[in-house]
Amino acid sequence: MNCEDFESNINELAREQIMEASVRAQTLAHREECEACARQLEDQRSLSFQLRALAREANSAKVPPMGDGLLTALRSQQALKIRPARVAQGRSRAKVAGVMAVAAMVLIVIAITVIRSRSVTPTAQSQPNSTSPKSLPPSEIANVKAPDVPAPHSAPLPNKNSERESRRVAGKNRRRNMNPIFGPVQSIAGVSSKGVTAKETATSVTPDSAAEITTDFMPVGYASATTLQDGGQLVRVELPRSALVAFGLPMNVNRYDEKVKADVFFSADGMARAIRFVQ
Amino acid sequence: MSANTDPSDSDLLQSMMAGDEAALAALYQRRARDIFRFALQMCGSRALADDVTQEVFMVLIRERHTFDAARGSVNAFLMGVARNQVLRRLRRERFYVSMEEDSENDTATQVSRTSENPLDELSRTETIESVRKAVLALPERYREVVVLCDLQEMSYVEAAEILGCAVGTVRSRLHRARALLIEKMRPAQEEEAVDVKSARCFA
Repeated sequence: MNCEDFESNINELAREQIMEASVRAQTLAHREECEACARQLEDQRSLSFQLRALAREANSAKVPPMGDGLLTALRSQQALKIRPARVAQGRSRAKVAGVMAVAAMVLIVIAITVIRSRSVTPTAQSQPNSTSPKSLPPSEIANVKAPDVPAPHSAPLPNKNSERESRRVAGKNRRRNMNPIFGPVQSIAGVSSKGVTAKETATSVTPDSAAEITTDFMPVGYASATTLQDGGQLVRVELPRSALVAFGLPMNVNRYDEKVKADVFFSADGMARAIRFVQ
Repeated sequence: MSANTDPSDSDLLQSMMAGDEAALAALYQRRARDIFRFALQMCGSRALADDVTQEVFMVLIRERHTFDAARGSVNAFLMGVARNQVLRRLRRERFYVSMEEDSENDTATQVSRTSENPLDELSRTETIESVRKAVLALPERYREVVVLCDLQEMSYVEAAEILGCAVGTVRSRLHRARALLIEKMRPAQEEEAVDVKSARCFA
């Protein structure tokens, strides 16, 4: 072994590291031969000794305890890890809530539609049961039509065709928002034929009222089809005969001091919407 | 038996990642000493070593996803982080002069209190102090191999893993570092010898 080989192995020898036995023996043998290499090995061993002393001293140094900051950081990291999951949950909940809100709105719209359709249908269904001549026995129909009374041109008994026609016209007016003057008239005609409510129509078909002769309903002021949809009340009143002139009807001057009977139709808001005269 | 029951560093790290605080405490208990010693021997400041030790575990908590078991052990990862932290702080504090430690006075007082033979103890303490100064005076790349291989008694392979270089590089750096240390310590020894001679002359 030469000095160069010795120098390459001197660290391991001085630090007492594990090395091949043959290499170790050769290195130690070279130390005996070369004085400079022997001195170098001595310096290296001295350095190793001093470094070990320094290491021992460092080993005795007190390690700082684990700070609370580490635990806090760990907890905050865990919180950050959990937060996205919560956010995702919140988003899915918001989506579900949105879907439910839309579904609720659709249900509400459907319910409103059904309620509106039902509010029209019962009056149409109730009529045949209460006032339709079909529901009455033939003997009663004979009583209703008094033989000495002229044909009631103004208040014909509703038949199926006229009922269907009036319903069609009323619906048409509702849809098109028709002329404010003629629209109500049609509606009122529908109402009168339907009897506004089953009760009122039933009373109007009593034997007493059957003997009466009535004009058609005439509009009083403005009334739209929508205001008449909610129904109303028919009130029998007595008016001065001059009221006939006001509606363009002929008046017998000889009987000017007598009163004339009239049926005034009040809508749900309490306003007089139509009138018919009774004889 | 206890070696079998003790969880490995990887197991502790996994538990810690799941939020187990006890696992963090166990890992700290196991690895903080090496990190602290490394930082202390690299920078010579206890306060800085304390900071580095805490910061290493803080990095482990915050950037645990950067640990790859295929690339090395948890200990190597922690020591690598410690090395980066130390080098960063040394570069940052290069222009500052430490006023905190008057080591000579401290060691002298400590020796007079604890030792049975004060002269031997003083001499030993002075020797250690001169070695410490010599190590701290080394360039960083040589200092870190001396700290890891000689002071922490790690193998070349372990040191290479921490430093991220080849084993041969560690070996050659250590060789050069030890030669530098001997050179640095020799003038001090010769100076001491000169002082002794002059003292004899005056006597």
